[in-house]
Amino acid sequence: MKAAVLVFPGINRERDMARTLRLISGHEPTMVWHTDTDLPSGTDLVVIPGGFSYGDYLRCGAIAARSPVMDAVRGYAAKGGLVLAVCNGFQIACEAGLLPGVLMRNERLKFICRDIFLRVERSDTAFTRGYNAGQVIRVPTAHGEGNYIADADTIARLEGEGRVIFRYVAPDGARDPAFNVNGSTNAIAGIINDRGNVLGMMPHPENHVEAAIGPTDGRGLFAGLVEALDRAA
Amino acid sequence: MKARVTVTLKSGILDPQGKAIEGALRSLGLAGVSSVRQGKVFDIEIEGGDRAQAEALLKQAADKILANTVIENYRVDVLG
Amino acid sequence: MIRNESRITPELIAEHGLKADEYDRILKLIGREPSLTELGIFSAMWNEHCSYKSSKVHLRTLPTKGPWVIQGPGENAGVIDIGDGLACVFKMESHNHPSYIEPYQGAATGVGGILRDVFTMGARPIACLNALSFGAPSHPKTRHLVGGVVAGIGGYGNSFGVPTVGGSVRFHSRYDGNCLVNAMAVGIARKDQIF
Repeated sequence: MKAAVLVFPGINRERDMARTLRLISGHEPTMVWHTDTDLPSGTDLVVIPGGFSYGDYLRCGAIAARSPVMDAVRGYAAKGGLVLAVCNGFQIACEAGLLPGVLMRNERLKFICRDIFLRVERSDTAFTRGYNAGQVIRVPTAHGEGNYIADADTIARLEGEGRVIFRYVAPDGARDPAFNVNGSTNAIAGIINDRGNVLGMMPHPENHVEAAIGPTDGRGLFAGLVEALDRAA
Repeated sequence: MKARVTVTLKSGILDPQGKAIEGALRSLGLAGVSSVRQGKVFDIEIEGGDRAQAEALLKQAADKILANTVIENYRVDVLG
Repeated sequence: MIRNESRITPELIAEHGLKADEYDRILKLIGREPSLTELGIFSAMWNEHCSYKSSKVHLRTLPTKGPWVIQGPGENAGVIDIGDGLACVFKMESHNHPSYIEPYQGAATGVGGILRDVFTMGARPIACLNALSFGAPSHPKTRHLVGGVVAGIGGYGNSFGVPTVGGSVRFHSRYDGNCLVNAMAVGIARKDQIF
């Protein structure tokens, strides 16, 4: 795995992400500053981590999405390169046109910082091959703007094409509005693009990978990616 | 030249912040408000005096960054 | 000899929040009448928030020495050896009256300031805490203060990426005239990398 972790001013989860990538892949990721116009050669995974890039000014991720490095990321993604976009990264990916829709203010207006439960809707993607379809995983989330909104056509396409990858659910996997913490349309927590190489998700799987700290449900995502990249190599 | 770009939510997009403000107006005793939707105003100074050019520039600015056209509309007013 | 544009009158001294005995101290310290600017500087440096003058007498009774104390009072934050080559850097500070006047920004800058005190020592902040005291729930200002202070603490801490992990809050009419907002930050540093 040759991972490139993008860093914009105000991003604050890049170290957690780098630590997890290092832990699970055994390889050191490269931190890429937002003004770079090229990705390191041989990059096979671009990660857009979480935080408060540009203080969430204008709109979450709006300014970061228009950074020089994002042209390189778009080109890389157009050629099928894998992109993992987490939290602010998901917001940036949507603003950059890598994924459809928008993340808006949480329905109940409060910043939510707690463990939530996600149902893995498909296990046949590079990101979820480490899980079983229908498996429920517990991951932390920390965001004020995670309410996934898109027009009816986009939602219908996402659902129809099986591009909703993670959904907010109750611990037993059932759909329950009480567990849709931010009010996202159809409790959507994570989606992929039409080609299946770009995943955006609001929760933080990178923070649940070490038994010493707590649950390790996040490992499957990264272990699956390592496997997918090993096979492709 | 002064100009103003006003960005508002498309109708149909839920605005919980607007709703919270509605509630605040009510609790301040300001009756008769049936709805509030929150938007943004950008006051921009343009160099030069060509109105048509200014409008075109601002439209580009709005399309490219000031508004997220998935959920927002905008209006450009060149004030002269 | 500094020429004063304004006359230093007892009223002006009082307006600057300085008591008669404090002004006498200034005269002794600099050996002359202060300029208006100097008076302003003393006023700012000797106010409760900047100098903790009414709390100092109690703070002095607390222990500050021990085999694990790497840095005691006098720097941006205190540093304690926690073993394994690591040190814990932490501090608590109040932002009472600023929060009473402008709850969101007062509390937010309180958190910002305390985070700064920790990272300027070379430590990475890992947690924030706070101790809050507000007036009686029925007091007209309380609701506004609570809402603003809590939002301010969250607004700054969350965007910094440092979680607020604990604290205390109490309500009593004795705080009707001024709330207490105490913000704490805790950080970790390698013992040999402290600034």
